[in-house]
Amino acid sequence: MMVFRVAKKEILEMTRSGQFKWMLGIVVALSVVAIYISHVHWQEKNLQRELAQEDARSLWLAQGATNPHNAAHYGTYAFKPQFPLSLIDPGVEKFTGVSIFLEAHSRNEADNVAAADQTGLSRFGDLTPDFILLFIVPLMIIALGHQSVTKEKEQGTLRIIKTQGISNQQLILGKWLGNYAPVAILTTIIFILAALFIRQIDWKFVATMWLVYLAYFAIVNSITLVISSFLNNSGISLVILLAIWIVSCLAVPKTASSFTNEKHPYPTRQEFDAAVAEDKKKGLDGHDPWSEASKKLEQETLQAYEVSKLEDLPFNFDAFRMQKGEEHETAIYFKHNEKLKEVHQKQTQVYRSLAFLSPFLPTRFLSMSLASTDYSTHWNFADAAEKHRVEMQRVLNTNFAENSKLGEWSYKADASLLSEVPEFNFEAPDFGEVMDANKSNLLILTAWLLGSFALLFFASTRV
Amino acid sequence: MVSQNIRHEVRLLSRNYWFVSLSLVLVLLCLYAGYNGLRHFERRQADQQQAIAAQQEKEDLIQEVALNLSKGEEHPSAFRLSPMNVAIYTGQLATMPATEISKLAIGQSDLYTHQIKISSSEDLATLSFNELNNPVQLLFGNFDLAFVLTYLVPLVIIAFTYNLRTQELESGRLRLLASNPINTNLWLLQRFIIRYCSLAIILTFILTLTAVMVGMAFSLSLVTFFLLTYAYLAFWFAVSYLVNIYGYSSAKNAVSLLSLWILLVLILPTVINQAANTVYPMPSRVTLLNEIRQTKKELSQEQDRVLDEYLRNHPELIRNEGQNAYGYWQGYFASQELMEEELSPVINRFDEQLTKQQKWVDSWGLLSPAVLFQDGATELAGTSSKNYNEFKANVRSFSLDWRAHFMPFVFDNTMLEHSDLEALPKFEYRSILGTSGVLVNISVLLILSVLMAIRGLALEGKQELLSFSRS
Repeated sequence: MMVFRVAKKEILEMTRSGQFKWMLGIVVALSVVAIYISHVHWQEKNLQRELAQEDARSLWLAQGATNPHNAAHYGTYAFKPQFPLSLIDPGVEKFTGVSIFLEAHSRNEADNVAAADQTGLSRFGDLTPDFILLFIVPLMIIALGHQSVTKEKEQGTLRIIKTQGISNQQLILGKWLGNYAPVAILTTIIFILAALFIRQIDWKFVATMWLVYLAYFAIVNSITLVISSFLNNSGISLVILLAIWIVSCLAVPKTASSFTNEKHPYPTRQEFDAAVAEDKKKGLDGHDPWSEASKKLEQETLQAYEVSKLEDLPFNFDAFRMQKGEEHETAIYFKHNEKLKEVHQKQTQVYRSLAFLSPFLPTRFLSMSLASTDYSTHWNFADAAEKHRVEMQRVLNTNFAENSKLGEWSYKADASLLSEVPEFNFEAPDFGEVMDANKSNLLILTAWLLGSFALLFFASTRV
Repeated sequence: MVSQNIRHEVRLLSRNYWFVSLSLVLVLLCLYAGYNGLRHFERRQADQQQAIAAQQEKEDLIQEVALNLSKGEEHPSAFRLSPMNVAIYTGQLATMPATEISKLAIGQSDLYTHQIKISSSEDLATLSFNELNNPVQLLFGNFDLAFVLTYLVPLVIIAFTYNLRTQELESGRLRLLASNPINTNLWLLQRFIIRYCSLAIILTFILTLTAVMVGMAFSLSLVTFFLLTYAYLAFWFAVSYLVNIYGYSSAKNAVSLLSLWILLVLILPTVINQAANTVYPMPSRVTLLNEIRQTKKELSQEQDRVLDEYLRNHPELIRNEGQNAYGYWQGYFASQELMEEELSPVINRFDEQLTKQQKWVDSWGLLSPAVLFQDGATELAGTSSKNYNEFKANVRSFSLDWRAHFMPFVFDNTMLEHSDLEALPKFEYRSILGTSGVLVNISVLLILSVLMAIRGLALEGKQELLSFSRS
């Protein structure tokens, strides 16, 4: 087969060039260091979180016999687990908090953002496998392939090749394969190497991520050969390809982020808190029996149970009011977080619609999503923590209401109540959900793949 | 030679279609980046004004109550003058005002908040300075002027200088030149300096245009920003000069220069950052959370002991009524203060590690011009991590002062009066960073550039040419 012969020749030529050896050496060294360091950090963080989760639980249980509402104020922590594939792509993990304090009356934001504990240099990026896959490997493809066709033109060998009875398509396809094969092998090695370090591996996720990157590199490879086919000068080909790389991998994502924030800005924390406080003030405060809302609840409850005094109610009204207040506050937090989520969804929509500008964007989003280190997973975590908090309050307030009398603040529930509050557990979305949420990214990546091949076909007719 | 060279270069550049069109693209990019910076600045200002107004409302309310009471009138909200209310509910707003230069370098300002409420009920250990944000945006970063200058301008320089000598070499003109009684490396240096000046003039024009568009006034910081930009440009011109002298082919020069760009701008900063995190790892924040809880729990269980211990250290607060007269709030304030004392070594561990990381980055950053430039630009803009560390430290120390100020009121069980409100401590963000760090960065960039130029000049240009022609 002509195609394979061309590919073989390309690879042979590559292996003989010092430039290739250097480049490959650097990329391999960087990858190994990145995977190893990520592995060490991953284990360290994982251990910390597991320990912290255990400690939080034992501190919670160690309260012993206590007033349920005191326990509610004492609260506990929900920790976001470290997902296995975050070793390959830590995504936005650095910028999202990992712990949420669960307490009575308020929904807290995730805290302990790693980026805040780093120097400004962290904004240049981290040496992690995803950095190498997303930024460095495409550069390697460009460095290897920019002169693939131009060189033949410059040296005049193109005509000689054509006299051998090879069609343009066969030649370009052979060159495409020759340039792609080493990259595909390298990618596979990186994934296997990383997989060796990953515990509890789910092959579906790893294999899909591997395919996503292979598709990304196929697109970059096609674009490289298209430019190389159209031009006659290696230098110009390199400059143009680098310009394309900078635009796709740096400029477009940054522009997208500036544009998105401009279109759908988040409120500041101050504004958000103020809006919540404002709404809270209007409604029932579980701790304030004198407010208008409390009086109204009192009347309604008395009527419903057809008694005249709060003391005659079959439960502790203080605790009942506490629970009602909690429900009211939960609704407020829900409302405001839904608003925030709406902004987030609108922003995601804008990012998605901009994804056709650069193959980098759909790859970036798919990769994070498959690693469960994207923003949506973080939202899921925050929502799960809130659900847990609400349930925790319900268990505690119900016990308080049913087992004590009005004004009996000295009531202490048995220590076993604390273990009735379940342990917090968060699972990453499963494969189907991830694929479903990323339909448009998959579509755009496929469109890029097909489009770049079509362009390559067109270019091959012009060699 | 110089005047001929200048005339020749100016003619070449003005007829170079690519140079003119790329300059135009640069104008557009800078204006767009400036616009983004301006919008960011405006939002930051507006958010801050809103927060200040909301705080002012609270302060006005207690002022009004205090004024009424001082006139001997009654007020339904008299309880607002209790030290607990003023210390916790009213609190104070700590703000970090934006500088004009922050329109040019957004830096870390999208990560942190610039207004934070100081309240005596907050624990310093868990005080969060993070702004509500979409983390994807933080991951991608912003398209600001600092980005254009750090990443894109070096590539423009490379595109216009990579073949200045090799082009002559490849066309055989260099030998003609060398047959004249001139130093070819000096001739080349002149060409580089002329191109440097041309680009510097164009960039000065573009930056001035951007500065005017975003409404910046002339200031010393702006001049320093310009100087930093010139120094950064000089570095890349010097690198290209050296590569030109060593290189024999334009194609190889292009590859070498681009590899250097990738190494210095893309890889080195991430490696230095990763190394800083590995050499000086941060203690675990999640472990800290449980430590805090443990401490809190111990203190709350021993409220009486806490109060005793506190009063032993602060005998001035003991009143004649005896310790038993003290209730919940005295215990609360005392235990808060004791907790800060007990936890401060733990929190300091974080600060110490961060300081060490910063030192590591400052010294290894000398290897990468991109780090030097970015660092200098954000420091000038007041958006570097150093500025935010200062702000955090300011807030923490003020929080302690704020609580301490109310202690006598809490233990005296007295309400605040109108005159006391005037005497409340006021937060002010004070930066002692100055521009010395930026000047160091500028000097380093310039020294490196000069050294590279001297190295290039010292190489025997003609000798090398002969050996090349022999081979």
